[in-house]
Amino acid sequence: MADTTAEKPVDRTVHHPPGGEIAAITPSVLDDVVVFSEAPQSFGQQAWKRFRSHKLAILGAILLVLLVLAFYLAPLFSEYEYDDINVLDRAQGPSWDHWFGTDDLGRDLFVRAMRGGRYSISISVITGLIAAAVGGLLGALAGYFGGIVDTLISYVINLFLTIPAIAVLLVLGVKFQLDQYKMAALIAALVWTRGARVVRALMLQFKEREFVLAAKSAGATSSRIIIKHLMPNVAGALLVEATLLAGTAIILESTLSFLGLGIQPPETTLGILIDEAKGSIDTSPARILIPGMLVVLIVLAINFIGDGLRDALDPQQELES
Amino acid sequence: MSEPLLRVTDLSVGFRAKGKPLAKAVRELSFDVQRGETLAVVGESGSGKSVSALAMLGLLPGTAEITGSAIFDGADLVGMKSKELRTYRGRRIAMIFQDPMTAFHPAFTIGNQIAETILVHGLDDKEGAHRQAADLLEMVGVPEPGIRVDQYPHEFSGGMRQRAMVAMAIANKPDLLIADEPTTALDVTIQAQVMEVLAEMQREVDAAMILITHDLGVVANVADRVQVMYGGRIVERSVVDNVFYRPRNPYTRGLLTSLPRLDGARTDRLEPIKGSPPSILSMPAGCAFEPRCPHATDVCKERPAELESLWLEHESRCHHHAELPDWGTPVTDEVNA
Amino acid sequence: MSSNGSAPLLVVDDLVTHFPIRSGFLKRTTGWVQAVNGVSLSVHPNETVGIVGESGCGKTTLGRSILRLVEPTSGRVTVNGESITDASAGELRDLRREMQMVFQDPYASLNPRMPVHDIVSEPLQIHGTPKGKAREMASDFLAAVGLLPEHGNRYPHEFSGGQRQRIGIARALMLEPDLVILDEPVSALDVSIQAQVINLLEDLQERFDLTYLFIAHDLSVVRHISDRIAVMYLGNVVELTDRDTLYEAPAHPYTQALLSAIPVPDPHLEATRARVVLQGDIPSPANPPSGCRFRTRCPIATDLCAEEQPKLTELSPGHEVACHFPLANGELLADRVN
Repeated sequence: MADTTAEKPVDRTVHHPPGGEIAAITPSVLDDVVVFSEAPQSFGQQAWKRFRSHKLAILGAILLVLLVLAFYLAPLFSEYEYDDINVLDRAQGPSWDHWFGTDDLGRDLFVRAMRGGRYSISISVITGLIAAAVGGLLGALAGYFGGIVDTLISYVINLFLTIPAIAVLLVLGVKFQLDQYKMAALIAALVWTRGARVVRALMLQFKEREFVLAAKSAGATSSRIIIKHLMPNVAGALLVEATLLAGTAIILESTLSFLGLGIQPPETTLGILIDEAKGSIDTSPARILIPGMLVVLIVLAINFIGDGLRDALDPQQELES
Repeated sequence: MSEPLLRVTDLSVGFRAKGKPLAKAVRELSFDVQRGETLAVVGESGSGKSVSALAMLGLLPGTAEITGSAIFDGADLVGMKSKELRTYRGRRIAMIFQDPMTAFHPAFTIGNQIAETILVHGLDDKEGAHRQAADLLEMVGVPEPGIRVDQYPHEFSGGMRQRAMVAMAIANKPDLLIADEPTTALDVTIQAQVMEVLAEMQREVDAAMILITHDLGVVANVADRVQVMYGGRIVERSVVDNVFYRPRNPYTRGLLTSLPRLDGARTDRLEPIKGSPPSILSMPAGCAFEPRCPHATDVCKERPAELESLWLEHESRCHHHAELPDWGTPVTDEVNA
Repeated sequence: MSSNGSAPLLVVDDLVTHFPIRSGFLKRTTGWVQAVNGVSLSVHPNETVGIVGESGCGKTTLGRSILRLVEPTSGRVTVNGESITDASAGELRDLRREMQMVFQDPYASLNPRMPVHDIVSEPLQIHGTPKGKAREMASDFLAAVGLLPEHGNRYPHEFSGGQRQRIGIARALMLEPDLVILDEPVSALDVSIQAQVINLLEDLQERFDLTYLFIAHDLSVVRHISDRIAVMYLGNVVELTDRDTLYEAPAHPYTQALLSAIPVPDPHLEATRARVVLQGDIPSPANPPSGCRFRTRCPIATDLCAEEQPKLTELSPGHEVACHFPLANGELLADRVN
């Protein structure tokens, strides 16, 4: 056995635990008492701080704002309308005159892309709102009341989950003329279940919490408990779901339009532009790449924002760094 | 004096949260553990008692910063490579955790998991290891060990799981057992069982034990020596009788007087320690206990005291340990037992 | 400080709370968790009755059933003479003004999204007091529990466990209830903070003329604060008597084993005590033993104990035990076993 009793200088080198070990401790081992040196911070204020420090989320937010501004304002700078047919200028590549080039009918692609983007964004936002509202309400009722209400709503959720979304949209798209609102409603009808499940699960979790029991023992009615106590704790997760649903909606919409359904020409969405461009992949790939890229950018931006929201609203311990 | 089994010197553990300065959970901790003895480490949340043990065994997240040394039988555990540490963990040093529910993997049988620790550390015979696992379960008093050895953790009750954890810990006859709050999650009557088993097994394999707990009753029951921690430092250390009957540190005294006692006289009022334990994120610059101490003076605010030796085997970290009033032993009524 | 002769504030009569175990596709009831299995006791004004027991004994469910936060399966509960179990929703709301609860977990008992003054003033707001006035009174109660009025603007996560528990206590007092049920109010707190909160509870009891039902697993704490104590095991009260008798001459084998199992912070005493360590685990309340539920772990059980469940009967005035062979007059279990 080595003799280590001789005085040796205290080892001041900093060691880190060997990598790859599973963290065996939870943050509860470290105390969390806060000294009141800062002003009171509501949960919302803290969440905003966390969101601000999430770089990708900020990037996504900026990107989205730029895209929206572009979609709505940029066409004002062009002298063309989205449906200006000008056969003489057809099938041109990008130029100073037509910034994105023209399509087979000589329509300016830049303006059409911007208009398409407008539709895509508005459909996704409306879809997100409807899906969140419906899903949130049904999920809340199912989670809070349980029993037969829960059983019924859960059956409905499962029913909707078994419906193949694209197939249904195809059929309905063929049968009916769809404007953007009907489209949004239809897509929402197919994606709301995710939000419902999330809200239901959270409700089940929170309704047994002691602060809810405390409100009950003070005499609170069910509606007060749902509105004042449960929804604020659930709203964060619902918001995250809504953003992600919006992203899904765009892809669904683009797919539909690509298949020739939904919104009809001369109106245009990004999906329609992709559809119209599929014939010229070899000759002018830009025609398909541009609307495709725009879809990608929008969905990326939305997903980054969703990530940021999730981290901001679902606080993992600060000490995890 | 023989060579200590474990010698910890100036162990410090810090955590760095994003954008914040280093938060030290353990500050320059030094202590020895002799072979075969039971050292109790007493403290509340934030005292650093658990973190120090986890740091020695390399069980903290990679972001923890550890300085100092923990020399176990000649080798320094701090800074040891993963591969080498693994030869110590489970074989020469075994740890028993607080929560028996999460200490076992739910998808493997108890026998499997105990056998694994035997196989990993040398024995090559699967069937032999399985048999040993059943024997170990019998030793720790799990009924029907032959059947239980093939059951899954969820089929065990909390107390039985804790016994199984003890079995797993002693499987390779370790030199040192570290028990981190082994009874906190258990019911009182089960606590008594598990402590009995733990003490018995410790004797059986002749191991030393570091018992980390906040329960002074358990300490009085099993400890040879006690060290009391507060704010990441040792504030008092001695043989068990001294700490309970002749404490010379205001925090230790505060702990003892604030306990409602089953054996004490029916006093009308408890004497709590005012204030709350400090957070590691905002430690006072001077003595960590000063904001709550009834004997504090200005010097206590300026700097923390050194750990001084009062007489043989009794140390206290306090500027005023010599001026503390006399300590009367609480009246001891008989407890029905 | 029990008041003899005055009418009891709370009467619990043969309260039973069973939870159905549902499984299968159609969620049929395959069994019952017999959490509370026929508990009767009464609490007099200004006294503190402690309810003590280990996991599965049903003490938390008992507390919640009394307040009807959990619906009892059968039995009757009356407060100030009025029945809670038979009350309609509206009547229940009013009756709840007279009884409040303090919860165990300081982290889950306060809504993380609400500032403290809203949390504390909510009970008054629910019962009609306008927001401003309610917040004023909340500040008063915050001061009564040792916090400053400006702390009202802060959020629960900014406080320590002990401080949160104080907030929970302030909230419970807002409606000026007669009875406060405390469900393990100090179990989740650090040792040095427990004493603070216990002293606070005693002070508040005197100041506001409160009656306590104190539920805990820690016998040392319960001994300190209670006038009378009920020991529960697997859904039943097995012993009910005043504090001194319980600790000096416990009659039920389980009570003695429980007392014996608690380690005392006194090394010499610990080394010399004769202990009775119970064997075996606590049975599941979904599948309790026949007859006396304690018999599987009882060192003095006989065949009779497996056949017939003993009823809670009076051993001596003010001392009730549920056992066929109670240990009377200070007899020690350790002696009876040997």
